[in-house]
Amino acid sequence: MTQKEEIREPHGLFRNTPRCLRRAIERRLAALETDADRFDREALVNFVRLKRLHALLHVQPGARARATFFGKPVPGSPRAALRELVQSRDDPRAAATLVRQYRIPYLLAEATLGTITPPVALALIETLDPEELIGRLPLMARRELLVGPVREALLHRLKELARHPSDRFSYAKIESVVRQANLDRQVAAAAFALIETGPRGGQLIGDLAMLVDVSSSMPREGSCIELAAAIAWRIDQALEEGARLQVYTASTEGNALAVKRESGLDQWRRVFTLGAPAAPGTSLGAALDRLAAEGGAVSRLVLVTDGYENRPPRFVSAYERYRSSTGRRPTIHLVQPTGAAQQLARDLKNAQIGFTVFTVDRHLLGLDAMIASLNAQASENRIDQILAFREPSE
Amino acid sequence: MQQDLLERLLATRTRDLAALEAGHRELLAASPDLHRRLLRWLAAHEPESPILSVGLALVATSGDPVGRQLVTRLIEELPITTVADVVDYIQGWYVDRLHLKQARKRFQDEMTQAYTATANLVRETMQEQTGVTTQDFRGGEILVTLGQYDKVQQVLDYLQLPYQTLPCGVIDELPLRADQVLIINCPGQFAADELEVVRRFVANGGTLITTDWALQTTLQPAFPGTVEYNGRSTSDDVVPVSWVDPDSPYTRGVEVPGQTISWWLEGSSYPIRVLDPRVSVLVRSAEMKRKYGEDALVVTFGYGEGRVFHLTSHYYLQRSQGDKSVKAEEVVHSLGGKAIMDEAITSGVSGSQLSAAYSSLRLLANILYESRRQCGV
Repeated sequence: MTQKEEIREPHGLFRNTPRCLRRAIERRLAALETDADRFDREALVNFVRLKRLHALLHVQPGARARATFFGKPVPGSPRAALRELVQSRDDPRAAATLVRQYRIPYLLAEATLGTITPPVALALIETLDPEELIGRLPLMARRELLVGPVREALLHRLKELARHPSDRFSYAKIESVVRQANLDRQVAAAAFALIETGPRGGQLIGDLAMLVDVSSSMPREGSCIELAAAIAWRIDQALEEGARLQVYTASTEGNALAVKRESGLDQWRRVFTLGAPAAPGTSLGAALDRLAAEGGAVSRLVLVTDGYENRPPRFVSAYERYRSSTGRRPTIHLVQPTGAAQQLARDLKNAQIGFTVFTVDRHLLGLDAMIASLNAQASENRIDQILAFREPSE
Repeated sequence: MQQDLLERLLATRTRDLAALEAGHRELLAASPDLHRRLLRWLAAHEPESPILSVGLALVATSGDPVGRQLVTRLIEELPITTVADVVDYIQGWYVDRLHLKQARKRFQDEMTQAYTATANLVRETMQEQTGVTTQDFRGGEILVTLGQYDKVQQVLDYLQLPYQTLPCGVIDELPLRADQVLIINCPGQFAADELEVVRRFVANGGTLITTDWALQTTLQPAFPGTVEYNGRSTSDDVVPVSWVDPDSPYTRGVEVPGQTISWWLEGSSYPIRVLDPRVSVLVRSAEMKRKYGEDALVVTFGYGEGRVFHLTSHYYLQRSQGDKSVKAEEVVHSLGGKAIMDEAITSGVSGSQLSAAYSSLRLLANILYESRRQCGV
């Protein structure tokens, strides 16, 4: 026997839009209509939202807006081109021409044509906005479009974008796209060339502690945790002179590793050549407790981990203890290999503790961007920026 | 304090709009100035962020004239998507869902009363000994794959432990955690890539519990060289347990003083052959060895950071075993559970039924509570 339960979930404030806001939106929409090209583009990309704004707020549309949203689209406009696109379903060349001419977004093109053919894919690669192009690569890869001439065109476009400093993306975005689209090494390298370097570039400021998961689940080459060695070496090089770098291993207990600053990569490899610990289990909290006990008040915690934690003390509770005992709120960076679990990240999210994730791509192409990425993403930086924010007019 | 609120707000899941609204309200109450600064920073750096649209909606409908002025100014520069999101959030919307729930039909048989009578005692004992409560299992910590022949869910229901059931085929789509317990009901059939997911789950710290035919379908291919089916399936039989590991936390309290545990073997249960010396046998039966060639009834082994448990036959015992002449009073007295005596006697439960239910519940509870305690949750 089945019980039926109807659930109605309310979302939002259920208030009337204040008049001052309505007036501001009216002005905004009227200004948009004065520039026909910009209006057409917005109407193409945000058709539903614009129509809803007009309808919901009873905003009187201009002639172009009335025709576009509530009548027949103006001939020659991108919305009218969508109707032509439907008619060119059986003619990929004509469809590609329309996509090029009106810079039709990927999802609209796919919805209109039903399926994306290689000529249309080629046109999309050439004309999509950089942000949309990067964002749609996993979808195009799933449709098996990124082969042959389309792949070549993509490579060419990515190289072209790399020449414009304005088209830059975060490391996390590029790594996620490379992973999801399973891009080959050459295309991945071209994508990684679009990573933003950030204002502070390559130097890390303040004391830093690395907590390295050395449990048996961490990937090893021989018995060396190569990833930890490569990361530690880069951090050591980027850390400002005079700043402390403390390194702790975490398995079921935390242990400090004594390493001099400015050690070479070979020395870091030696340090991280560790067999799997006798007692199975991972407790990153144990390493943090150890750091707190030894008086290590740091401004950054870099966790090299596969994302799993299964022994007490757990990291989230240890972090709260660390904050109250040291009075510091270090920024947390999870640095993890591809395929790492989301467990630790979820625990941190549930506890509303800010953190950043740096996933090392499978080609190891992005490691060089790690320092800049740690700088750019740091929540501490974000809060500092907000606290110090002044608008140009202020 | 204000910085804490700001940090918490920025760390909130952007999909959880209600939590974002609560975060904004807290920050707004603590420092309207900092809140406005946050909105201006977001408008300049993350103009499409849901944190911004929810914050603008809140300020726009507040009585603060400075805040309202700020919103009307920002609206003129923000992307249309954000403007539409602000208006949507102010107006609000409903999501209607139809929730279909299968009415719970509890399996009834001659052991039902015995399980009901002993479950409270087991739960209270476990809570006392491990410090873990049933609340600690909330959040999908126990996953149970559906099987045709075993129904461990019935035992979990008696223990009042929350669990999630899932078909074997979806295992590779789950974000498994290293502090979860995965129970595979007999027979447990997986494709090769799903077996790899199960193996990785254990290697990373998970606890795997399997019964009966899962020995051949799951354990043998996923953990080769540890245990295997010896090729001689059992008949429908009851064998006495001759040895229970006295030192393992997993078998603590399983034996009922003054009672011999009788192990019910279903027709075609698979005897366990131990291949690796690192596999520990928790429960043995000399008669099982004499009749079917292997004495192991319950085994466990560590794999990577996790642990695997396997037992012959099933968790839920569908009939009583052993000496039915033992009076309920004697068993109840030896268990120390005076409270269950009345119910047991009035429902006509025999001593052997009580001890069988108690042992079966206790063994599973030991494994689940101990794994939870070890994970430090």
